[in-house]
Amino acid sequence: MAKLLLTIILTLGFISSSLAHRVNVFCWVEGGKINCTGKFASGNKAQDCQVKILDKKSGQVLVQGKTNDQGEVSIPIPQKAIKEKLDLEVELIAGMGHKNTWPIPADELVEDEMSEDTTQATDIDTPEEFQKSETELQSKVGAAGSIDTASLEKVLNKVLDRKLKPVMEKLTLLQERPISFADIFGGIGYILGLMGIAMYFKSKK
Amino acid sequence: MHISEGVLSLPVLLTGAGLTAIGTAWALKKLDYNQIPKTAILSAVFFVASLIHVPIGPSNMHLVLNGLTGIILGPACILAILVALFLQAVLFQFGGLTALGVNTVIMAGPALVCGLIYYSLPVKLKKNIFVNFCLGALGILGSGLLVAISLAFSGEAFLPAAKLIILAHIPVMVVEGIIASLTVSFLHKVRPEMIEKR
Repeated sequence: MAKLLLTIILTLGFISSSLAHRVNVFCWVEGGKINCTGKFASGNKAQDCQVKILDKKSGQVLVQGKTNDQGEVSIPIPQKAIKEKLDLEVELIAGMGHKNTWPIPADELVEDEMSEDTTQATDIDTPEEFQKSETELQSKVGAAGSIDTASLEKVLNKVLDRKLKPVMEKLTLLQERPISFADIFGGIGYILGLMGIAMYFKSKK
Repeated sequence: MHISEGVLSLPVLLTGAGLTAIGTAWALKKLDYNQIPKTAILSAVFFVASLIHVPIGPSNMHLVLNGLTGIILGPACILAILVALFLQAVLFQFGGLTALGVNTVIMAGPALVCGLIYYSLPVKLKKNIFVNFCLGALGILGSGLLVAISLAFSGEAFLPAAKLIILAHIPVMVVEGIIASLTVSFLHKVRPEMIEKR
């Protein structure tokens, strides 16, 4: 009996969040990676769920991943998608018939191809590195006599990427639409209206 | 237990839609004028019940109340559940419009069975708390099995899915059983006409 109870509790722990009725997935592209967050309508995080990145046209699975305890996963953008400029679709599968998708248009990926280059050219993750790359840039300016626009663009891209990361994250997560009282009362109102229609048609004339 | 859009295969979706259409036509024919307000109330209850989260142990689930809906409404439960599921899909994005037929079968099928069992019982058993507890729980058990069957026909293995779903819903079954038995015995006291005849 105790063993059975333990199994039940353990199973419950694993699938707890699958019991909610809607799973949402939010994704944004940043630094050559696709970041995804899975959440249930009840606010629980979608832990340990399969995430697939598909080519939207052919439906072919390009990469797969699994969400961590926080319901998050970040997957490097598949090279194929960048090269062929594919529109991607992220699919989150939460078990027991729960699934949701998030589209990623190809133009979002192209931007990141540049920052991918920057990663090799000037990898800026810390302020020191940024200073280093700045001095590199200045020496280049000194050498050539004019600013090398290509490398300047790369540096700017990288910096913007870092600055925009929290904004992108917030903007993406803001798209979640929680259930409001208007929805609930609207639904009840519809039911009452339908009741009126049904009574009208069933009433004895 | 709302199956999302794009999970099930086309034959399963079509079968669900067909069964729901037949059931709806049958229930509409059987619907009596005096039953309409009752159906609407239960539909509203079913619609809102899915928002009530019951935290049990580590998990968090929501009420379904399909067994109770079947007991109180009989065949009209199909109408109440169809309307409520449609509104849940449109307003809350639970399930989805393409899966509406299947989801209605999943929820209303066991509800109808509960209702038919209840109305075939002698009066003494109708008032029995344990019988009503079992009917309330049966609604969830049936729905869980139907979810597993629909998933099985769409490519998932039946036994593991069924085991997982039913194990996960044991607490919901208990809660729903208690709610059903309390509600039915309460109705027998205050409004016996609501629950004795269909």
